[in-house]
Amino acid sequence: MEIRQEHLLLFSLVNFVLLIIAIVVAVINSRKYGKIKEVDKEKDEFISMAAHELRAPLTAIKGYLSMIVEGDAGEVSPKARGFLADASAVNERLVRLVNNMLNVSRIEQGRLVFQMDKLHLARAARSAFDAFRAEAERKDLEILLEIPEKISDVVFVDPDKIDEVIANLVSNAVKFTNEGFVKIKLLNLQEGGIRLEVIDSGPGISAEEQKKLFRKFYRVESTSGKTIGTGLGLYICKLLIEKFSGKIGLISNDDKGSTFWFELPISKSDREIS
Amino acid sequence: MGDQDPQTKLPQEEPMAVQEPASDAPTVLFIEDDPLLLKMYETKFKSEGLRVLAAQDGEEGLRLATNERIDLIILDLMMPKLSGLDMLERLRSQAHGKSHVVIVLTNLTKEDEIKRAMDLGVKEYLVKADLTPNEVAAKVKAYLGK
Repeated sequence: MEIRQEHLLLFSLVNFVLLIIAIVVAVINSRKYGKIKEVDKEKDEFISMAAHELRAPLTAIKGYLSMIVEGDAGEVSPKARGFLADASAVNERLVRLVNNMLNVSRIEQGRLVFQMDKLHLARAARSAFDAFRAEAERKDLEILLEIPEKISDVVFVDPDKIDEVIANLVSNAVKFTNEGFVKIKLLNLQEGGIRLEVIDSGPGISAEEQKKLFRKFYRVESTSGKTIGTGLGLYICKLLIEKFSGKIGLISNDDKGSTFWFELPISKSDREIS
Repeated sequence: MGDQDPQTKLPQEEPMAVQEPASDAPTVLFIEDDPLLLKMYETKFKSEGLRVLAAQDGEEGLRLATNERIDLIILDLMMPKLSGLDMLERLRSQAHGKSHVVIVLTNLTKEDEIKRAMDLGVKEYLVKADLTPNEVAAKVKAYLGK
């Protein structure tokens, strides 16, 4: 009997010690987690402020370039016009980068308000094609647009955000492809959706990198060993497409180019071929 | 950040020969604290035949809006002394300040700020980085019926 009581006492004591250890571990973890959250918040605030401060000089550069191109400062020679177009394209890339920095935390925290509306995806694809044609041609890349004659393409999305997604995908394709082509392609899916593909003849992406590509801050190493961008573009594309009930992904083999795609459901009242 | 770089102070000389618009031309009050941007929009607006009054902070903007004949106000939000929306709130509380046509032109795109601006009767909420001066001028002229 006495032995049993001693055992019981020992058992209780061990339990008590284990409980204390568990509490201490929990407190340490929660402190660590709290600190991480705090650092994360500070980082988001810093990104947001830096992006905002960057927008003012970018606005001035964009504004003055456009005024020169539009002839506000007199005649512009064709050669100068070419240089200005290059400067504008680079500046637009910076604007996109800064917009990505501003958008990411807002989407994550559900603070971005979406202006949902019907959108003809074929029209959006065409305007992305027009917007990137000059930049592709300057790199001697062929840029192609493939839209079937009959396509059901009305989706219910925030049109500006889908424009951003397409621009991000096409801009990446042009950026990483040094020779060959970039193609934007639309097709209907059997189950009533639509798929947009951006196909390039670039260097391709290894299976290892493909797994990490849509993660926040992940950046692909280019063939020259340099990494480019903030590592936010594709992550934002994924957040946005999933927000609109779609899917996004890529098909790529080393040395055989890449196909980035997203699929969206067709707006219900527009299922018939329009 | 936010400190004014001395190099970006508003230059006194006018680099481009822009003809001064007639004194009875439609008048736009531009309230913008960044001297570089202010100069850029001012040049563009003048070349479009608009008279421009400029203020570099909310207090000065409120003073001009109260005392001058103004057809349209272009308002930045992040400004020293009095923020754009605080300035607008004060203007709206004045008897004659309710009817001013106001367009917000900012690089701040916070949802709560957009909502507050709309509640204060702002006609449009424009993001500077998305538009060229020409596009801004076109929007302004549409409101002025030009």
